[in-house]
Amino acid sequence: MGKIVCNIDVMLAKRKMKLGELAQEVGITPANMSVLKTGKARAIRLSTLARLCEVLACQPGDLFSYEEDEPLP
Amino acid sequence: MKDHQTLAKWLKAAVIALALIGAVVYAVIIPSMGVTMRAQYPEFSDRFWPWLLFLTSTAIPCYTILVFGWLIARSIGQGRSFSMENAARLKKIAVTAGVLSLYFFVGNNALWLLNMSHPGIVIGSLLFVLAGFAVTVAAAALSRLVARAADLQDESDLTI
Repeated sequence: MGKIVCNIDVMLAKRKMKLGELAQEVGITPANMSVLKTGKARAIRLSTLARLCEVLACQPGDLFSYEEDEPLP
Repeated sequence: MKDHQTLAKWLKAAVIALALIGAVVYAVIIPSMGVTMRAQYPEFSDRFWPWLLFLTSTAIPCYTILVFGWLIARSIGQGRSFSMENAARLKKIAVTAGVLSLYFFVGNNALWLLNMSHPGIVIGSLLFVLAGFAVTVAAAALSRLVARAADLQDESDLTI
């Protein structure tokens, strides 16, 4: 099974926005935003995802991508 | 005061109470009963030390369980009621209670076979053995439930 990778860094760079600013705009704590960015989150609410897309003016697919786990040697 | 802190205080008070009662039982009541019986029935004086050692050795697992209980209460007070650490401690309590029950059962039967006991005492000791196994089953079930709750808590905490 693979994993979902968060590509918020890419969108932050495109929009020239800092993580703390994004957290404030979206309405979540910087700690939670960091959890999301580092891939430690276990789930994301659709309302949070909608707010992220609204603030960053992008689609959900711009923020997350699926990666297969590397096969064992 | 928050609910979990109140609960933790009550649990710690219960652990302290049980520890003090246990200390009185092991340090005062059991030895004094043994000395009294030895004085009243000198023909049973050879049974004093085996029984005293057997009964006081059960203090070790009992106080081990109290230590785990204290650690669980402390975690609850810190707001970490549902954690894998508490699940592991409950599992250890289950194992310790199970081992204690088995030890008590085997020990009682061994002393009876060595002609140092009475069938009535062996039958009476079954109550403690059954109580011990009830604690084992309850603690094991709680351990599973707390582990599942910890997983749900983790998922909830890491839901953005």
